[in-house]
Amino acid sequence: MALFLRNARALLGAAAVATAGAACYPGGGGSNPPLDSLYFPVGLAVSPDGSRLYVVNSDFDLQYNGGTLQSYDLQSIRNAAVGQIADGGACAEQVPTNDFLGLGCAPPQPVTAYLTSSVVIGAFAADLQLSLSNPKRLFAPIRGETAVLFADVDDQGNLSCPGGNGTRCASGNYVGNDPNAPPANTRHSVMSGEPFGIAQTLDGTAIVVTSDSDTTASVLSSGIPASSADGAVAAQSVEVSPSLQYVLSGLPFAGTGIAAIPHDRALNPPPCETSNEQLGCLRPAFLETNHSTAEIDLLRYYSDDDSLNPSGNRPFLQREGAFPLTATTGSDERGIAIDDSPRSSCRASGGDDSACAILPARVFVASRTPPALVLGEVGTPPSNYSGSFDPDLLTIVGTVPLPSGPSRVYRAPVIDRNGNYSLRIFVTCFDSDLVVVYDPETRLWDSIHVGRGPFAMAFDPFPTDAYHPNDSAPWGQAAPSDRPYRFAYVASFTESFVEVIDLDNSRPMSPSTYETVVFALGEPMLPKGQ
Amino acid sequence: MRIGLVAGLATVAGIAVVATLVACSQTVSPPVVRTMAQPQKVDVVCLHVLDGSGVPLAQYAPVSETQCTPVPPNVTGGAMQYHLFALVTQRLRGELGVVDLTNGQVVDEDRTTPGINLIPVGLQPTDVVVAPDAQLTFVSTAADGMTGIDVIENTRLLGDSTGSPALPPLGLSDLMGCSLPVAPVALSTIAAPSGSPGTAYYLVALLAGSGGSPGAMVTIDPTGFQETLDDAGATGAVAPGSFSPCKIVGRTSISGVLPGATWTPGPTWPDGVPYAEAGDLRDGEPSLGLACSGGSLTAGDGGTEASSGAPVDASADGQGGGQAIAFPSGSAAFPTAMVMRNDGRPLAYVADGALPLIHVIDFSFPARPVELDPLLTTSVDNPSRVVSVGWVALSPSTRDYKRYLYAVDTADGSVMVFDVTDPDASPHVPLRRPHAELNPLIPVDRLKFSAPAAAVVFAQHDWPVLSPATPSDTVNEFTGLLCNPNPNAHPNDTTFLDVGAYYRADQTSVVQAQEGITPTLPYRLRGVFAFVTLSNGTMVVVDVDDWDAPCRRPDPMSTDPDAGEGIVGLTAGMTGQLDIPELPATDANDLDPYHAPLVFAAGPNITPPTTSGVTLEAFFPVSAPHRVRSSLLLAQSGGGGVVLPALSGQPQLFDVNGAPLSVSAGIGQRNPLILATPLPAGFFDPDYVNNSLAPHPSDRSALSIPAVAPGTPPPPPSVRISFDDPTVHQTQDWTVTYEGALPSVIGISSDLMTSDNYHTLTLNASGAQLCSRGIEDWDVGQSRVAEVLAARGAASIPVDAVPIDPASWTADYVEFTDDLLASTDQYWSLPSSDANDCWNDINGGALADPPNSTGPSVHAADRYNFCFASYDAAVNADTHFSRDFPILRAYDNEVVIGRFAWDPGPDSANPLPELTTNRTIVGSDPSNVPFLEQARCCFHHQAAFKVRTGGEWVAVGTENVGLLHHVSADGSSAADGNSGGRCVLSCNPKDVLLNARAFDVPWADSTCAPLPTGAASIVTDRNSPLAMRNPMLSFVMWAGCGALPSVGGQTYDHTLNARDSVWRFAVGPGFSPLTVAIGQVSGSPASPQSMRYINSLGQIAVVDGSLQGLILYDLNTIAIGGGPYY
Repeated sequence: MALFLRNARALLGAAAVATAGAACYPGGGGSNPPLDSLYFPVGLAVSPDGSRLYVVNSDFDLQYNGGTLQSYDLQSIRNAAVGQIADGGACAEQVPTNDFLGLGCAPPQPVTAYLTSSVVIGAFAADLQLSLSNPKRLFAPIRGETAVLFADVDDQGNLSCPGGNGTRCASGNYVGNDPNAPPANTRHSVMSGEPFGIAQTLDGTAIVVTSDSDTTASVLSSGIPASSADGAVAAQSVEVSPSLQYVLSGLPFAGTGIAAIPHDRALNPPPCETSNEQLGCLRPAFLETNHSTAEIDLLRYYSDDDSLNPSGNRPFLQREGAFPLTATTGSDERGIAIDDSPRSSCRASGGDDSACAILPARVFVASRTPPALVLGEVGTPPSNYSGSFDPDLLTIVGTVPLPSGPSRVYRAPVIDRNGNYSLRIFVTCFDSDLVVVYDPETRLWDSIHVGRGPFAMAFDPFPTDAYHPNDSAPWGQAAPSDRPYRFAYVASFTESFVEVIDLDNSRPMSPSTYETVVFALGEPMLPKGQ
Repeated sequence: MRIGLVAGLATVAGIAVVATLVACSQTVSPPVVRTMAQPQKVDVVCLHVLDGSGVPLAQYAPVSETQCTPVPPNVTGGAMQYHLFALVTQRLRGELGVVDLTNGQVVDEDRTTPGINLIPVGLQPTDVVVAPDAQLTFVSTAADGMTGIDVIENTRLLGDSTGSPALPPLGLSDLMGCSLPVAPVALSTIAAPSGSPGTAYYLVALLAGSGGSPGAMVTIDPTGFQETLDDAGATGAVAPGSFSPCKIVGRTSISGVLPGATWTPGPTWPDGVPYAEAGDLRDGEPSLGLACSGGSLTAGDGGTEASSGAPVDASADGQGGGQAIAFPSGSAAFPTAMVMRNDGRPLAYVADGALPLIHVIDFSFPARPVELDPLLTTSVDNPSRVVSVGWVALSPSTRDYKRYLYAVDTADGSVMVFDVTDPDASPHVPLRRPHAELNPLIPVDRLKFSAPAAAVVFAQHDWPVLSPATPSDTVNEFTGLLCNPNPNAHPNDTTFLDVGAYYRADQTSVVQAQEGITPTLPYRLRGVFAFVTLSNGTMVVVDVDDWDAPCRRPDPMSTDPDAGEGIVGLTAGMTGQLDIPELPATDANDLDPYHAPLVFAAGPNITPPTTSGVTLEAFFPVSAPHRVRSSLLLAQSGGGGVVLPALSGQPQLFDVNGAPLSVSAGIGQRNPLILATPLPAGFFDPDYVNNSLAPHPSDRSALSIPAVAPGTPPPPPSVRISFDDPTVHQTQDWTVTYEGALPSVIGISSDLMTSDNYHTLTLNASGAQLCSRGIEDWDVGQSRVAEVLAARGAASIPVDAVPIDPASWTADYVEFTDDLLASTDQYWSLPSSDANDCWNDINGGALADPPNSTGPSVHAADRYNFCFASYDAAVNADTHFSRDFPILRAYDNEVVIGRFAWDPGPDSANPLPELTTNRTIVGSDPSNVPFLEQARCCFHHQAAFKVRTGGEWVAVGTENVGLLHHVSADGSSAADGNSGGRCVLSCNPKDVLLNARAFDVPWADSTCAPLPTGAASIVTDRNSPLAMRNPMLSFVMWAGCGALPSVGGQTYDHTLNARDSVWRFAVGPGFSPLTVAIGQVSGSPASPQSMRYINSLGQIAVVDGSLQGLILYDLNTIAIGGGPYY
């Protein structure tokens, strides 16, 4: 460990020098990264049809000259995982135990059998997202490039970047570091600092990226047309490259997490994403966290894209407000997730559409110090003193203490004992090697012991309205043997592998594998010097 | 396993240095090894562990909690016979920690295993409760598939740590237990009805809702567990390790049914003035405005619709009027917490996390629990909000036999107050704060804190005094006494006719010392108090029933300067609106603590006191029910320097560039002068009393009292501090700026559009909540002017003191703050079109393209240059008045603007420029077309703006207060299609002090000769329409005097005030709540989880999730009394 730390300090020293320039971490020299290995994975994404798992690796110790972006055959992974827990599988035959790696009954498997495609990218990726409006495009903030990488993927899971499998992504795949990137960067802007958090407008037309090392946030056009008003995913192929549009300054130092506020379609005025940018529509907004100031900032996105604005589609951001964070004693906030399931739950219960639309959405923020999940609500109903609904007003309502090192926050359903979807909030706790599973209804939480340094998660696809309590899973009352499992995927940063967690609590298994690791993708590998 | 885990953590900590991936040089401290892991709930049990010689008993025995006493100073707790143990649930690992509070250590249950080991229980323990007879401990567990109750014999609580021979440590299979069908959320016990056979108590469990089914409460017969204690072989005994179903003898589902469809806000809780009915204070407060008093508005050109004040919420004043209950359809009850009441009629109050209810379950018949009418959790401010509750606490009885329930609102972390004295007849809705307008910064029906409340506990605490007759009898000491400052109660140096007089402020030494200290106020807690832990790790003390309240006051409390033998003198009078004079004692036998208008007494047998019998604080009430307690005496020397809010130096006037401006005689008199408001009749200002703590009022003298009227030479500038409610004060820097920018309007971009062919221009900013930002349009401005002019008329101010009707220039206006697009931007070359028609009338049409043009415009450069010449760069926006446009009508989502016009003067070749001092508002008008087209085109149909207060001064607290206003959206759907409602002034009485704006008040003619009426008579007090009064302070802005500039003998200006002239001053210190920081224990942050008052210790146990341990707070010292234990 000492050797590793010395190396790391040296690297960090170099990085600190480089921070003054465009990027904190220049790409390392040397050989290309192995295409068939996981190496400090920091971002996961699952395709909407559940057929692909995408992984971005960060090359964090700069052993290579870049990181990688990979595409895996998720169906094969799932089949292997099911094999572990189905009758006769290893997990069905033994009580899962948490060994040193955090694995239960799942011996690690090499990635090669599941890898579809891999391309080389810059060092120090920070996250990975699929476009919300076209699942064939991936976005990853790359700190080493001070840019956002985009890569398209074909129906077979092959990454095009643009050279295809095994190649290095071209400069044209990085957005934000070229002031003269034609033609859409009309402001000739460049990103600054280190891009870190990423979020999209609800229609996927724009991307907002936080900066971890300065006071800016950047907005990019995704290059993808908006999804249709009913939320259907656009089917056309991707033809337009993303482009940097605007860099907002004056934010608190070190932006980390960011999430789009889910404006309900039944609001009045309606969200711009669902109203074709009609006059007076409600513009998209984001909540951004940071780890320097005890506040959460409200950023408003302006598409500048309607008939009133003849200057054309040139989006920009405004910092519209800041919500002081007095609920904790610290000022180090990380991931953020927003859950609007109270609205879908209201509708599922027969509630009036417009009344359900103005229910607050729940906000979950990971606080590093003290380690806690900060609970909030965004959206304030009309009051006697304010005649209108404020969809973007954040109220902090409390905290839930967590194990040390909470970082990213996700929302996804599990399958409860009755076979229904049940919403959970997942928090990766890096320092304690845990994934905390918080039930926002009961306000209780479990934890799952995982490999070292859990950093990113992804989940099997689920309907976006499958959050409200007791929402039947699509297979209804089908026999357990006929039902698919439901899994979560966790990237272990420190040991460079991905674990698969069973999230189905409805099966009469004994021992139960619910909320245990049932499969490991990749050979766990400690950093050099460990 | 534990060693391996620690090693793993250490390794990970090293990796974490690198892998946090969020900063180039971030470090992570090594993890602290802790025995506890996610502790949550706590109860206590007293065990007899040592014999009289200090030798461990062969078998320690559970005993009554009262046997365990605090550890006296300089005594080793470990040698005491009875030890109090805290039992703390450990959520992460499913354990129960046992902490020896007497000896100050965590008990190691298994000394054969390295480390400190705890008692294993089922996973996810949710609560712990000790049986009333102390024999058993019950732990509820919620692990999936293993929901139930684990039962521990308290004779084995200490594992193998003591006893002779030591018993083996408990394992999970050693525990008794029983299963429940769903997860228990909370546990408690109730006494069995008298005369009933079998057990002396029942266990009560609150079960969570499951699968759409509501939660339930069950009564569990613990007989089987008790029989195991008595005879493990008995027929009904429960075998260790068993987990058969609990013996449920009573059950009721938590109802999801609402008792009624409407509610009305509850009554107010006591205001702390028990001797008088303060009544409605409105007569002593400003007007809410003409719109609220039925007066008509002067509809201006912008007033296409007469605005009216926002409707008064009659129900908010308890005037009746049912409010629909916000009740989520289809939701089932979702119990989250409970508190038991055992004062004769066993009741459980169950918080609901889904429905706006607190369920009330009657366990009078344990086998047949019955749900009574629930308490409604409502919100006066947001009636449509579904208020869910996460924590409840029940107070002990107060001196007036009241019991209160505090409930934490999970939506905002505030605390609701219910009166539950009579479970049937008491109000079933939250009480309201009396005189809420005096502190409008907190909700009317809530206690609000600096961070969300996490948990609440009540405690009744006292500092007893010994009987004067038997001073050595420390057992039969006096307790529960109300402090009595009445001179009749202590007529001479040696006589105390009411023992409550021992608690007078000058009798501190009489109070029995505890733990080696004799307390002084405000740290002397006597009475009933609530302790609220906040999510940021702060514990706040709330006064509920302070028995020292009668002695915390000014002296005298009389407006009669001759009261009390003619020695009242200087400080006769009220300090605030609730400092109501007390009636004198009817005779020498009248010992009423509130019949003491003058506490100071003189007489032949009285030694002149050096300290007063009361605290001589400047506010009254100082200690009011359900109000945060001050950490300092609110007196000029309140225990650590000056704590009364006061001006920190004189206000200073600056120009727009920050250069100081003179307000002295001569040229300085052309500048406005800020002065304190005159005191209302019957009031005095405690900020200007010298030697204010002298017990003899005649020993006090006046400091230089600020002048309240201008003159020549001008008096020093000042403001008047309010002493109505101490909690409203905050340390604050204030600015009062002429036509200042509203700090609430920043970062808003708007679409520029027109619906009337540019007679007006609309700035649409959907979602911007413009009303809540305090924007006042021309209609509101004219309404204010009408009121001000009426007041001026009443003061006989000549009309010519106002050169131009202020109604023509009083309105908020926007100032565009954006830069123009760059000259190279493609926008400038876009051809004119229907959507881009605004070039048509600009510059005589020279910038427009021919009809149907499609190619790039040839006017691109001309357009940019023209616009730049008109508006300049954003950095110069404040000095380019062409960027200003008056707001004719303001709505929640948009503002409609007109333009400013001014008289260019007689010389057309050299027209007078537009100035903020010479322009007037042009409403909707055809003449606006070129100006508004130009604005739209030059700013490419979209611009950000700020808003300034045209013609008015605006006071802003620059730290936390910000802009105080009572503008709200009226909820109307405007006739012109604007949604979100019109911005109007609220007529809610609660908002009457939410003010920031002030007008110039003329007092002299252009030669600075005072007006005939005399300046002193123009403004009578702080409630005049000519004054600005907010909850913290008040002032009058007296106009500068001098001739206005003229051209050719003609005056074109209407004011001497320059925009952005600003008065600056600081007021402080603010109210300082009595708090304890949990995190200060180890320098770590805190995340409180639960609390419990330990009556036998006089301490509060706080379980903290961040420290991952247990901390004790001592109510004698208001400081840490033990721990942290982890």
